[in-house]
Amino acid sequence: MTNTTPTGPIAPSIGAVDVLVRNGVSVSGDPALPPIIFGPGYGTSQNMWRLVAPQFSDERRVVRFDHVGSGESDVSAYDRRKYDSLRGYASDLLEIIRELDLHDVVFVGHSVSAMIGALAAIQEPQRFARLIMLGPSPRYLNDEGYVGGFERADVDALLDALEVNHANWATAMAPALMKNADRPELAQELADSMSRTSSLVAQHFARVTFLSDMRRFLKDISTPTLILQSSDDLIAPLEVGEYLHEHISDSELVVLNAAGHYAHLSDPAEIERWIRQYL
Amino acid sequence: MDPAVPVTPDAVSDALFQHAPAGLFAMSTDGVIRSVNDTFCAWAGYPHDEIVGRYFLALLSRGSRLIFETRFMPLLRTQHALNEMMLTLSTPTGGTRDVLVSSVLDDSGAEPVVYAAVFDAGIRLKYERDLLDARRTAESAVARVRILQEAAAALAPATTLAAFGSALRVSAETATDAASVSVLVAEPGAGLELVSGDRPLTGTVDLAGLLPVQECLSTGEPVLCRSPADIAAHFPSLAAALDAEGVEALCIIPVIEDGTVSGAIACWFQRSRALDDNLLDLLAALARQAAPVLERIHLQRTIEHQSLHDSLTGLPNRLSLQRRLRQMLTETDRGGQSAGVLFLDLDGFKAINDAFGHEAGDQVLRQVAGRLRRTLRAGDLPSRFGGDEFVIACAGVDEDSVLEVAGRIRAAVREPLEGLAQGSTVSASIGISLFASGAAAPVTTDALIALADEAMLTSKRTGKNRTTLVTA
Repeated sequence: MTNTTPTGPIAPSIGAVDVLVRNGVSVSGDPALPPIIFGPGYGTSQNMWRLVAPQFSDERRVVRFDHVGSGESDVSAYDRRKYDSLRGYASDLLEIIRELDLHDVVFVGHSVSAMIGALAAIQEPQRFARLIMLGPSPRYLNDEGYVGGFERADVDALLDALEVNHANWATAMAPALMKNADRPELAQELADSMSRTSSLVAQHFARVTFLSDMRRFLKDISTPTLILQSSDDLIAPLEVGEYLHEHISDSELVVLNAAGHYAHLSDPAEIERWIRQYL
Repeated sequence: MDPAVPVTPDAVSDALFQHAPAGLFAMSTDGVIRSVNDTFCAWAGYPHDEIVGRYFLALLSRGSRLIFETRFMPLLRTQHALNEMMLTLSTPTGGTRDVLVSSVLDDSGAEPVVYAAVFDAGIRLKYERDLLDARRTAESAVARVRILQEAAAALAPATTLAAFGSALRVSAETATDAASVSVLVAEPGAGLELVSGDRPLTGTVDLAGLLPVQECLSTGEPVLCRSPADIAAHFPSLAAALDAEGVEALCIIPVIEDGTVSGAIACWFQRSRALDDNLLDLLAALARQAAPVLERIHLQRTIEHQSLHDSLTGLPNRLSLQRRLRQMLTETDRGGQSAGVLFLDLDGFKAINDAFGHEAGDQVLRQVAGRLRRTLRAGDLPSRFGGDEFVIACAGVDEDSVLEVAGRIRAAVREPLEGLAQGSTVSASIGISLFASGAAAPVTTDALIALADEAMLTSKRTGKNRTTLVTA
């Protein structure tokens, strides 16, 4: 039997973990230049930084990566216990930094990556020169005396949507997988299993992201931090940016002209300008 | 339909756009609505000019805003098309309308545009939600059965506490996704033992100071802390240390065997966790499965202990002695230290038995056993050989040190007795066989014991309460 079935997503990993493969790390620019790392937000991939990151490759070593379970990462490395808190993601980031032997890191994190970067910088502050947070939030749920913008029921609605919609994604993915397959029924099966895996990972990551509370850690951030806040980001309202600015001792808050939660796509030039100005 | 029937093709197209039984709109990639049809305006509940220029996001319920920003837009930007995403519109009167949104991203022009079609889907989505609830219930039941079956299969062959702990730990990890799980066993008569997994605060507090576990063991009830604030409220003395190790929530579930708390499953989480009834029921079921296995292992250990110990004095028996001696001889043969065997027979024991009865005799044997334990060095093994005979295996001795041990034993045995024979005394006749490392001929354990026995008889013959030493 000829077997050209695409390789399944769940392949056992053997031996030492290659962190660069695990996190789909891409590096460009002269290794002698100081590093800048771009981290993707929840539900997105490094691709979201495509309009900003390359602008720095003449003067910096530019590193992009994906969180395990998203983008170009190795989904088989998804360990539910490790990734049951943002610390698991922060330890991956530190591993990437050590593997590439980076120092004086400028870390630009979108959305949840901002907090992941902060956790990593708290753990090993000597590696970090600057933190730049785009649309960050230390806690998405409202709490007594705190406006996060969301209630638990809203997060449950997101979890429902992730689950209901996974069937649609399987149907959408199957034709692409079938192109190279001798046995289309296997491609459909594979698409189902991939979408099931990605749906479970997306649900777990959503829980960990949107139910987390990082407020306690903000006082421990010693790295100079720039907070870039869209004027009308419904995921991270302005109050949240102000809260962060108030609780991170060495921080600056900039309210962007750019709109929405994806300012690095809607106005990449403005983001680039603010990053440059802060370096 | 109230509009007049359109006559020109353009007018038909326009009417189709405005009145199609689907909401239609176009928006920029940052989500601002540029154009919209009447159907959508009616569904959203806003007039046309209040919708154009507005973020589509602003028309959604908060939950749907999360979906839109974290799922809808990222997928649309990567796949350029999306089918039937479930979203909820929030109307100005405070109502909601469930819709399905299909969308394409057209970036062929100068400015990329998103086209969207919106279908009213209230009934269908209710049906989908019911299906989802049913599927979740079914899946959680299946997962529960699988975890319990795997736990049963892994626990069944466990004969050691380590194997027991490891099986239970893995099942609890699968059930909870906890960053670490520790399995603890409260040994009858002994302390608490960590039999599998890591535990927090290893550097700062011992197991007795791990208060959440202690509380669970003493009350027999689960101990739950769902957040750092919970931990601070319940265990203020440990809160800072737990926080420093990243423990943000915990749950400790007791393993109860025959009404006695015999152990605990401790789950340590690195984020706040809801710890709902489903999860707690599953952990309780795991603990119920574990209890009889732990009981069986304890029973096996008791039987093993009994087979190697004398029931009257609690000292190791002949079988234990033989094992220890064989081990010592092997080490001595390999050029290790010399080995000594002390054969001890009580002087005056029969007289006490005859005068005060067997119960008094038993008390004497128990007291002598206690004195031997007290007198001997850490590596020495005392055993009851039979009747009023005791044999002690001593590793790493030479002639002087073994005679010194014998001297201490004889002094201890001579102390006045307590209990029924209070005030009486016994003494010890001791024979020692010493097997030096580098000795020419190999020697058996039985031969060493027999030599020591003979030497003891010499001590008896030459006046009792003395020591005779021979070299093997």
